[in-house]
Amino acid sequence: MTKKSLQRILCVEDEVDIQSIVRIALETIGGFDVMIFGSGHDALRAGPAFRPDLILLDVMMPGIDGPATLAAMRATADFKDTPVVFMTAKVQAHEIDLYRKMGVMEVIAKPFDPMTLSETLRKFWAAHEEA
Amino acid sequence: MGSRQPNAIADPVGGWASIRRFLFDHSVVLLAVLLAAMLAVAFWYLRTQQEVMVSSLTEEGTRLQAETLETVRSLYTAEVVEKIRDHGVVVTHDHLDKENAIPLPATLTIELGERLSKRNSGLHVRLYSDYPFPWRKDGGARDAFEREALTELTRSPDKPFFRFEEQQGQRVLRYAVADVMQPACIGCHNTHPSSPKTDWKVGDVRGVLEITRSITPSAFVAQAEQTRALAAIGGMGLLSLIGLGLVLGKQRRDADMMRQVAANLSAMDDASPVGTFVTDAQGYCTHLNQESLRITGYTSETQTRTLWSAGVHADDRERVESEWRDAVQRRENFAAECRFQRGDGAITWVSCKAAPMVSGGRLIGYAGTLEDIANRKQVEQMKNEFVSTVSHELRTPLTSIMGALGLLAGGVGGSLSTESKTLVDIAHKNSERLVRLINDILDIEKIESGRMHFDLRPVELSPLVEQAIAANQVYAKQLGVTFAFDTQYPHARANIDSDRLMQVLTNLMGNAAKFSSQGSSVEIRLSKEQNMVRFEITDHGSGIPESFRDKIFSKFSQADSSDARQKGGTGLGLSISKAIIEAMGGSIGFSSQQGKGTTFYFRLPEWTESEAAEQPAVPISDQRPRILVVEDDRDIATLLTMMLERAGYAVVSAYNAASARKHLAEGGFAAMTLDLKLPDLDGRAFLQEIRANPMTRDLAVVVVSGQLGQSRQADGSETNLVLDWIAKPIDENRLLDAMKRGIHTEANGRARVLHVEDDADLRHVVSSLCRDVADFDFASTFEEAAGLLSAQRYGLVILDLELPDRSGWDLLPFVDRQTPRPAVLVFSGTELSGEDLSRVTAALVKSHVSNLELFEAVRALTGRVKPDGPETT
Repeated sequence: MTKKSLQRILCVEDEVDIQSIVRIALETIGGFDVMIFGSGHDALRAGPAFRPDLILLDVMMPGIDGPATLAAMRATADFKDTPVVFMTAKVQAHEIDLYRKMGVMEVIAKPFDPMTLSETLRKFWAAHEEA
Repeated sequence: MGSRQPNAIADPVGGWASIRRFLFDHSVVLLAVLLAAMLAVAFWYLRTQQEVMVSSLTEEGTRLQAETLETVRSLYTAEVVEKIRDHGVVVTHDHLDKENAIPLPATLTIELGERLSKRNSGLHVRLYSDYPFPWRKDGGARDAFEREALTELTRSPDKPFFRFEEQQGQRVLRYAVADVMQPACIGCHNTHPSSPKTDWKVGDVRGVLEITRSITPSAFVAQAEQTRALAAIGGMGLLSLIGLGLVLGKQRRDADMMRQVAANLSAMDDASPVGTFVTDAQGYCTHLNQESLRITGYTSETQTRTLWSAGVHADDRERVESEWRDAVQRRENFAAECRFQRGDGAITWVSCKAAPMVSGGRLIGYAGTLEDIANRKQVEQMKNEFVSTVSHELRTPLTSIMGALGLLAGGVGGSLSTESKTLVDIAHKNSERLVRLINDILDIEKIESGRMHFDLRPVELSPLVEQAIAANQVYAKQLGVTFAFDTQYPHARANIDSDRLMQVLTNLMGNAAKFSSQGSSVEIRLSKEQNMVRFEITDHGSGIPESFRDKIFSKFSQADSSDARQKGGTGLGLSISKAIIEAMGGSIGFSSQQGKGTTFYFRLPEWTESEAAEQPAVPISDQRPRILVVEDDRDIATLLTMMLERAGYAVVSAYNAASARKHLAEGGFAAMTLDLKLPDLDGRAFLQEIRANPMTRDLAVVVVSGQLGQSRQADGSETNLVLDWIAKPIDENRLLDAMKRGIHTEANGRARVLHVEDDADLRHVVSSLCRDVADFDFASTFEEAAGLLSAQRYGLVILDLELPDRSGWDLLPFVDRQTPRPAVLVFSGTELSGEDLSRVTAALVKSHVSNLELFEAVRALTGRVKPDGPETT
C-alpha cells in the first residue's frame, strides 16, 4: 500500500460545544478537512461521500453509540477499513481494553487538549501507516 | 414470619420432665423433709433399741434380786430357823413384839423387801399366796397379774412369770417367781397352828414372790442422753441443711439468671436482623435463628440434617466448600460471600462469617453470622454505575470548557491582552484541577470497591524514578524547586504496576515540590533495606504540623484548607498512594520536623532473579505442539506437564503472569492452560490481556482452576474465549479432550478440515487431493455440518453455499462460535460479491480453479496462518 497522508477526518460527536472545539482544533490548528456529524446515523448516511481517511468517534451518544456506529461502519464497504479513533470520557483501564478489542486504532481521553489534538492524530496515523 | 420456633431452650413435654422440674424447683424443701424423716426414724429406732436394752437389763437385775431373796430365805429357813426353833426361840410373824423371837422366813422376806424398797424407790417386793396366814390381810392375789402369776407358777414353778406394765404413769417390770416348799419348811408349815393348809409337800408352790421394779429412772438417764444425741444430730442436720439451702439457692439463682440470659439472647437472636448459626464440627447446622431460617429457607426441622453450605449456589459451592475445609483444617475464622439458593429457588447474596469453637483442644463446631447482602450487592453495582456515569457527565462539559480555554490560551482566537491571558490561564488551570479531582475520586472509588487493577511485572526502578522526575520537572521549575536523585541501588527491581508506581512517585514529588521553599531541592533516594527496596522523597519545607500528622493519609485531608487551595491539590493523593503501595505489597510512611522539612518513604518487596527462574524453555524447533502451562502451584504444574507430555505435547510452565508473558512473547504455542489465581495478576485479567494482544488473541486457552464458579459467572462473555473450564482436581481425559479440540493441528501436525459439500464426488476429489496436509470430516447437509461444528474444532471449513436443506451462509454463526475461529474457504458455484467476500477467509469458484490452486489454498489455510483479511484467488 502506498503511504498516504492524513487529510480528511470525519468526526461523530453529539455535543455541539465539543463539535466547535474539535473543528477549531482540527481545521484551524491542524489544517485538516473536517466533517462533523451529530449522530452515528447521520455519519453512516452522509459520511461515505466525504471519503474520510480517519474517523474520530465519540463513545457515549444518544441513539446509536460509538461502538454500535463502529460495528455498522465495519459492515459497509465504504468504512470497513477506515481507521477509527474513539474519543471518550470513560477511560478506566478496563474500558480502554474493551475499546481496543472492538478494533479501534486508538483511544483519546476526554477532556482532550485541543492544541495538541491534531498532532496526536498525525502520530497515530503515522504509526498506522507503518504497520 | 412463620410460627415461632423454640430455639435456645427446649421445653420437652412429658410427666417425667415435669417431675424433674418440680424436684429441681423444690429441692431445699424436699431435702428438709427428708432430713426430718431421717431424724424421726433415727429417734424411733434408738428409742426402741433403748427400751429393749433397758427391759432386758431390768429383767436381768430383777431376776437376780428374786433369786437372792429366795436364796436368803431358803438359807434362813434351813440354817437359822430349823436350828434354833428347838432351842426355845420363837419363830413368828410378829417377832418384834415378842421376846426371844425371830421372824418367819416369809416375814423375813417381806421385811427384806420393804427395806430394799426404802433404799430403792423403784423397787417393791411382795409375797402373796392362795393360802396366806391369817395375819396377812392382803396376802392373797389382788389383781390380774397376781392371779395369773399364781396360776402360771403353780403350773410351771421353774419358769419365772413377768411382764411390763404401766403403774401410775410409770413403766414397771413385774417379776414373779414361785415360792416352792422346801423340806425345811414343811414341818413348820404343816404344824403351825395358824397355817391355812397343813398337807404341804416338798416342791409344792406355797405362793409367789413378786418384785416390781420401775424402769423409768434408769431409762430417764438414757433418754436424756439420747435426746442430746438426737439434738446434736438434728442441729448438725439443720446446719448442713441451711448450708445446702444456701448453695442450692445460689445455684438456683444462677440457673435462673442463665435461663434469663439465654432467653434474652434467644429473643435478641430471633429479633436480630443478622442471621446467626451454629454448626457441629462436620458442618451440620445445630442452630439457626429466625433470620438465618429466612435467608436459607431451611426449616427448624430440616436444619439439623443440613450441611450449612447445602444451599450455596452450585457455581459458588466448590469455592466456598474448599475455603470452608481450609478454615476447618486450620481452625481459623471463615468468611465468604456467595450466592445462595433458597428452597423456593430464589437466589440471594449472602455474607457468611464464622469462628471456630474449640473445647478441650477439640473442634466442636463453628458459630457465625449469615447476612443477606443482596441489597448491598445491588447498591454496590448502582454506586459503580453512578460513579462511572457522573464522571462521564462531568467530563463532557469539562471537555468543552477546557477545550475552549485551551484554544483561547493557545491564541487561536487571536492574541490576548496580558490580563485576559492571566484570567484564561486561571480558568484553564482550575479546569485541569477539576479533572484531577474527578480522576482521584474515580481512583478512590476503585480502591474502595477493590476493583483497582494492577498489572504487576518485574521492573527496574531507577529508570522509573528518572521518568517521574522528568514528568514533574516543569511543575517544579515553576516553583523554583529542583530534584536531586541519589540512587544507591541502581539496578533494584520490584514486581509492580509501573503506571501506578508512577502515580505514587508523581504525587509524592509533586507534594514535595509544592511544599518546598523556593530555591530548595527535593532529594529522591533509592536504597536497599533487607529484602525491600526503599524510596525516600525529602523536601526542605515547613514540615507537617504535629496536629495533622495522624490524619495525613486520610481522604480529603490537607494541613490547612486555605493552604491547600493555594497549592491546588485534591486532598486525595496520599490516600491513593498509600492504597497503591499497600496493594503492591509495600508500606508507606513519613517523618517530619517542623521548620526543617519532611521525608516521605515507601518500601516495596524486591524482585530477585530466583523468583523469575523457571525451567528452560522447550525449543521451538521441537516438532510436538507446544503448550504453555500457567500455574502458580508447582505440584499442579508438574502434574499438568506429565499429563500433557504423555499425550504427545511439549510443555513449558510459567508460575506467574510475568513469566507467562515472557514465554508468550517468544510465540509458537498451540495452547495454554491458565490458573485463575496467579500470584501477580488475576487470571481473568491475564486472559483479557491475552485476548487484547493480537499475537495471542487466538491462542487456545483451557482454564484450570479451583475457583471456577465465581469467575465464569462474573463474565459470561468469557466462556466464548475459553475452550474449557476444568476444575481441580483435574480430570485428565477432559483436559486432553479440550486440548485436542483447541489445537488446530493434531499432535501429528496435521490440520482437521470440515468439508461441507453435498456432491460426493467432489468431496472425494478434494480429500484425495489434500490428504497429505489435512484430515477431513465431511458433511453433506447444513444439519450435519452444524452438528460437527458444535462438537469438533476445525482449522478450516470448506464451504459449499448451495446445500440441500439450507444456505451455507447459515453455518457462519457456528463457525464464529469456535475459538479460534477456523478459516473459511468458500468453494462454491458462484463468484462472491465484495460484501460477502468480507465474511470469509477466501473464496474459490468451482470449475474456475485448478487442482493445484485448490491444494495450495487448503495448504495455506491449514498452516498456522492467521486469517487477517479476505483474500481471493
